[in-house]
This record gives sequence, structure tokens and C-alpha cells, in this order.
Amino acid sequence: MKNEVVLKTDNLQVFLPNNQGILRAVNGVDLEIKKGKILGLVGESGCGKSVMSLSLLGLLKNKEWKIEGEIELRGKNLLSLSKEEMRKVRGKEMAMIMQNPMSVFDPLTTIGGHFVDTIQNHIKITTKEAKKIALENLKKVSLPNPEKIMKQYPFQLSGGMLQRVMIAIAIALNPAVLIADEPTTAVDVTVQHQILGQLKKLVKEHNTGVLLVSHDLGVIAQMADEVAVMYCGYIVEKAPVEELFRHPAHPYTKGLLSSRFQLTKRRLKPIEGQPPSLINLSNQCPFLERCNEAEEICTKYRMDEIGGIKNHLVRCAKYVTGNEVMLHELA
Amino acid sequence: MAIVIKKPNKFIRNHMVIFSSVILLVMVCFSLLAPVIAPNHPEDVDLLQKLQGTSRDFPLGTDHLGRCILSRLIYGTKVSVGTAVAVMLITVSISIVVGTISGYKGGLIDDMIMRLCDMIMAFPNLVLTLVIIGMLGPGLRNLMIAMILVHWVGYARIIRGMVLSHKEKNFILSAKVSGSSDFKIIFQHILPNVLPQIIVLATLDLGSVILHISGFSFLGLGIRPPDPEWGAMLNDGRQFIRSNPSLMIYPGIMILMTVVSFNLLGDALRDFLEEKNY
Repeated sequence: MKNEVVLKTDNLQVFLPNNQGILRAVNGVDLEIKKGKILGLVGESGCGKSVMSLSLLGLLKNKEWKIEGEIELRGKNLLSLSKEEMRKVRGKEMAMIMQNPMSVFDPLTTIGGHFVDTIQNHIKITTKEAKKIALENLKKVSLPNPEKIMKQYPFQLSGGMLQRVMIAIAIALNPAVLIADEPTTAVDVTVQHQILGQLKKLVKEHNTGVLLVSHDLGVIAQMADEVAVMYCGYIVEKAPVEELFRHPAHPYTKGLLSSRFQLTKRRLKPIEGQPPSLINLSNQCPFLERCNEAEEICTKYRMDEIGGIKNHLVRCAKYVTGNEVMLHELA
Repeated sequence: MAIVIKKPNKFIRNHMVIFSSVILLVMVCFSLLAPVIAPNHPEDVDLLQKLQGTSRDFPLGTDHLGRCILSRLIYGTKVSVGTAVAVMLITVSISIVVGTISGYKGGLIDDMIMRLCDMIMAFPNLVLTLVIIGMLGPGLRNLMIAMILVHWVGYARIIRGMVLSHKEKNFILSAKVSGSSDFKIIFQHILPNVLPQIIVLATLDLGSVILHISGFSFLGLGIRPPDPEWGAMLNDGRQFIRSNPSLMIYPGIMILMTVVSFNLLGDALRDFLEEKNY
């Protein structure tokens, strides 16, 4: 029961055909979000993190974006749902916390109004009752004077407060899955720490499965139970959080970890170069040109096969099944 | 955290609201109670009394046909202001519906509506109005229809643009994330953000609509001559601008007051609706 999977993607592919070719933003992603667990998703800018979280919610414009594969929410295939059915899923079964708290609130609607909107979208109750639920949830994120905040407009609150309000709204209907798309990039470090603490506590209390998207390894280390590293739309490495930070296997993950700020080092070691364009990827490993462990086999490897062992998966030519040496290193 | 709302501005604005409300209330009284208030019948011609100055019988004097100017102004309120407001309301309502559908839905519907707008906008407003009146025949009602048919296009364009820009904003995405239906998003989040600007635009344009109606009346396409109307009075007085400027000044003042009060009220209304915007 504890490890029940609430959201599962199976070979999820998201791409954008345009006149220069096909932009593959998400490639064959298999993820499982478990009840009460936090799955961290790290990756640099433009690697497809945000596109993936939007595709999970069915918010990509389906005229332009094409989605293949399967997204399963508690046994329900989301890709086969109609627009109206999908609308009912959003906010109730799957909620999202977005990046920039200052711009995601309608300037003409009070904080209470935002709560009431969300609640009344899914449950048929009076505004008064909805406000009661809202108040309870506002108290959970420990904001001072929730009654007053309910009547205030978004511009009257600070970014950190708004971010907490957003968490409270997201959690209000007790969703099964919460997608947090870089929830703390817009707030400063002390506030970030508080907000993350509250988020973690609430998630454990409500037994919500969380996909935490971030480019901040520190946040991931603090929050996540399991980590997936994304590069060029591929999940290049997936492992429990301790395993990943202690024994990173993929050269990209190693690079990320060594480019992290540490007190013991004088200089940071960045990953050299730029990620390749996502349009029409060539036949070689997308990371090849930046990789300092590149070998001959890498030129024929397109990140199609997954290597590694049971709970530590690596998409690197050297770890693909058969390479006993490397597999041994993982174990 | 709590931001101080600019108090002095609010104070002044309140006075302006009172000022413009009073003027508009007087206008409403004029148009509803004209026969009671007016000292004379507006169409009584008395050539012996023409171009008189202020007197007890004629508080604002008489025009070139000896008709009481004050009475004509009072009777003309209904036609001038009433028609302009009606034209504006209908125009804006039509364009809100069309513009919102066009902007929010996009795609083929948007293309079709916008091409229709392009077609209408390709002709000068005046010419197009004349053509439509020509087809429908002269008269106040037909003039109104013609003006609405020509004017909605511009508003629909503007509203579509505003809807488009709001549609891509983050708070609309977050409304979608929370499971709001399109209907709710439009009525709760997009229209309240678009309307204040439209109100200002419409009140600013109201003056030009009054002048347009007057202009067409002058051409004999709207109000027929004996009926009182501000624009027509303005035109009639043109010949006497040197000898009797009051013939033009009084209707001019009425138009000015109306336009100014509508603008002030529109401004105040926008501030009221948009007060939360910083």
C-alpha cells in the first residue's frame, strides 16, 4: 500500500513538428510517482522539464504538440480522456504549483476568490463553505492572519506569501498528484527553505505523490525520495536520492554534481559546451560532445536503450546491459 | 505588505464622479421630462422674434427662425445623448461577443471574423455608413443601424487583441490548471481584465458618435429638420457665428459637457474596476 503508484508514464513522447523538422522535447520517459513520495526531476534549462509537466496536465496545445505513449493516473489513461474529463482531473486529482507566484494570480480576484474558484470548479458547494475550506488550508501553510489574506488582492502579498497561498490552493482538494514546477526559483533562500519544509510536511500528511521539477540540486537533495535526471528530453539517470548523490553513474549527472557549489573547492567545474538543438537529433549520443568519458561506442548510441540495475537506471552506452564491469560498479 | 492606496487622488476622483453624475442626471431628466421643463415648444416658429438675446420668454434667446434655444436643447437631449448611448452600448456588446469568441477560440473562426473585419475596414467609415443608409433609407433608426454595423469592427479588433494578450498570461494557465472551464475563464478572468479599458475607450468615443449623428443629421439622413438635435443646431448656427455666436455656443457646451462627464465617469469606473491593479 505504501508504494502505490498514482501517476505513471509509459514511453511518453512529446514533440513539436515545425518547418525545420521535429522538435523532440520529451523522449521515451518512463516515470512512476508513488503515493506520499517525492520524485525529483533535475535538468538544465530547455531540457524538456516544463513541457513534460504541462503534458502531464494536458495543457499543451494539441494543435501544435503531439503526445505519444501513455500517462496513467490511478489506472486511468489520461491521453484518452475528452477535454471536459481532463478539465475535471486538473485541480482535483492533479494540481500544479507554478514557477512565478507574482504572475499566476489574477490581479482582479482576491486570494479567497482564487480558492473559491478552484474548489467550486470541482465540488458543488456554496461560496461560504468553500471559503471555510480555504481558510483551513491557508492555516496549514502557516500564514499570519489568514482571514485578512482571504480578502486581499495578489499585489498586496509578497512573492513568498503568494507561493504559500499557491501551495495551499493546490493542496485544497487533496489531489493524488502534485506537480511542482520549480516552486522556489522566484523566492529567496530563507523563504525557499521554509516553503520547502511546509511543502514536504503537507505532502507527507496528505499522502500526495509529487513531481518536483527543479534545476537546483540542493532542493532536490533536501526534498526528493527518488531523482530523475533529464537531458535533451531523455531521463538519463534515475535512482533513489542517496544512491544518486553518492554514486552517480551517468557522466552528465557526475558533471552536474561536480559543478555544484561546495565549500571545499576553490573553483566550480562546469559542464563544457551547450546541449544540442532538440530538432533532428543526430545518430550519436546527445551528450557525446560534452562528455569527458566518451568512447567509440558512444557514436552509435542514441539513448534508446536503458542500462543499469533494478532501481538505478542509466541511459549511457557504457552501462547498457552486457557491460559487466560498469554494472558491477553500480551494485 | 499592506500597500497604501493613494488617497488624494481618490478624493478628487470622488468629486469628479459627483460632478459628472449630476450632469448626466440632468441629461436624463431633460430627455424624460422635456415637455414639463421646457419653457416653449421647440418647433414653434416665430420669425418676428428671430435671433433674440436672452429674455424672460426665451432664457437663452432664439435662433434664426425664432425658436426657443433652451427648449430645443432640452428636447434635443433625448435624441443626441440617447441615440449616441444606444449606438455605443449595442456596438460594444456586439464587439465584446465577437471579439472574445474570435480571440479566445482562434483558428478558423478567428480567421473568418477577422477577414470580415478587414473587408469592412477597407472602406472609409463615412462612405460605408452612407451606403448602408442609402440601402435602408434615411431616418434615425436606420442611421443607428448603419453606425453600429460600421463601428463594431474596430472594437471587435481591439477586444480580440486584448483577449489574445490576456489569454497567454500565467494566471489564465493557472486557472486552467485548477480546472476552470473556458466559460469561467472568460467571464471571471478575461473579461474583467478587458472591460475597464473598453469602457474608457467607449466613453471617449461617445463624443465622436454624437458628432457623427449630428453630421448625418446635417446631411438629412438622420434627424429631419424641424426636430431638435444638438448637432443640427450647431450646423444651423454656423451661418451666424459672427453676429450671433450663442447659436453655436449653447449646443457646443451641451455636447462638451456630455462628453466630458462621460469621460470622467468612465475614468472613475475604470479606476473602480481596476483599483486592485497596483
